[in-house]
Amino acid sequence: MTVVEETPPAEAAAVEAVPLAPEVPDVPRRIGGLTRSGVLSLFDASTFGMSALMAAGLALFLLTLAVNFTASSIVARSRSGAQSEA
Amino acid sequence: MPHRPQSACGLGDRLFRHQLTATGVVVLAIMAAVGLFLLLRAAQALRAVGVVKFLTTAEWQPDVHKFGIAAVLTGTLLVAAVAVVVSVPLAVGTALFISDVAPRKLRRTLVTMVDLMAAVPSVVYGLWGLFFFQQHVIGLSRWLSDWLGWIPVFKVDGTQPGEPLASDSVYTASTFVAGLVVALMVAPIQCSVMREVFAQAPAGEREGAYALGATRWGMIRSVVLPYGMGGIIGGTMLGLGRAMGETIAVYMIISPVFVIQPHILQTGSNSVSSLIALHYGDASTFGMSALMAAGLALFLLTLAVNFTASSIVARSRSGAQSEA
Repeated sequence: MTVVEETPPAEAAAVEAVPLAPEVPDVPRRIGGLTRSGVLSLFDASTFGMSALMAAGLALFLLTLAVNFTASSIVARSRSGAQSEA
Repeated sequence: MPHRPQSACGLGDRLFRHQLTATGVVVLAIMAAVGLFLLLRAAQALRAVGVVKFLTTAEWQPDVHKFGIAAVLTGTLLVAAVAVVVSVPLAVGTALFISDVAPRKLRRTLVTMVDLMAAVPSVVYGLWGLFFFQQHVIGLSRWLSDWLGWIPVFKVDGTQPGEPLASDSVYTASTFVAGLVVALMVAPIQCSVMREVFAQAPAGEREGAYALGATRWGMIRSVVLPYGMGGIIGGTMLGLGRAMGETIAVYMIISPVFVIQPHILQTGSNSVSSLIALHYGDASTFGMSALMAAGLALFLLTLAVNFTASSIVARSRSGAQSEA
């Protein structure tokens, strides 16, 4: 599993990355074994790259939201009868 | 022990019972295997420096045999403490509102929303905390350090009370910000546990309290809260266990320092799990063993907290009656 390196567009590279970003720690460049949480590579993302990472985060968020809504609707339906099916 | 009536015990029943027993044993075995794995891999590092030195050193330089978890363990406990202090009132209030105050129609929606909050991936909490929440917390951090800076925990080096020109950057990436984000992550789990227990408060005693002229708050105070005390404690500790293990959100927010940092508002913090996330990519064999030792310490700590929590919850439920 490799982390995809962001290649920022030239105009975005000039923009100050993030206001109030913390002192960037010495993040190891080689962080493997993570899929969507490859968002870890955010410390070396440009503004545009950051937006792309936010989009990845949004996708993950929506996916878990969908799964959980489905689950809770199933649980709610099974409970609403409030009687054993045995 | 009263005699339990024996039902007909056919082959199917016995098979089913054995199967369930096996499943339970497997869960325990997996847990023991994880602990054993960590212990074996950590042995090299622990033997090199000794357990006492490992627990009391703050630096992390495994390749010159100067490493320990004093700093990261302090950071872990402080982040968890901030998280619990913020999340418990939030969770108790939400659980009480859902179980006793909210109109019946609203309850299901609220329960779903709290559950959804638990479903948000921690990396999303981390992104949100780092790029949105942190900027808005700085004002609170500054206010706290201005007015409560005389308490050692809230002290921030390099600032004076009421100094308007102090840089914001001394307040960012702190234990406090990380703790607040973790609080939002553990509050839903605490709220679920507490809500379940509050909802079991016996209806007869609720009605009794009302019949004696109690207001709703009086009823909650004299029936629901005493009955749910085990749930409150258990939920708190379950949240604590989760807060101590939380990795990615803490990792994204804090900037790691390897000194014992007791000032929660000041920039720089650390935690065991973020130490592991930070270093496992470029660790040598010995460094990896040292990380395993740190992981073992965290594993034992969370295990202890969770066992205590579940035993408290179990005890409070087994009585199944109000203590009021």
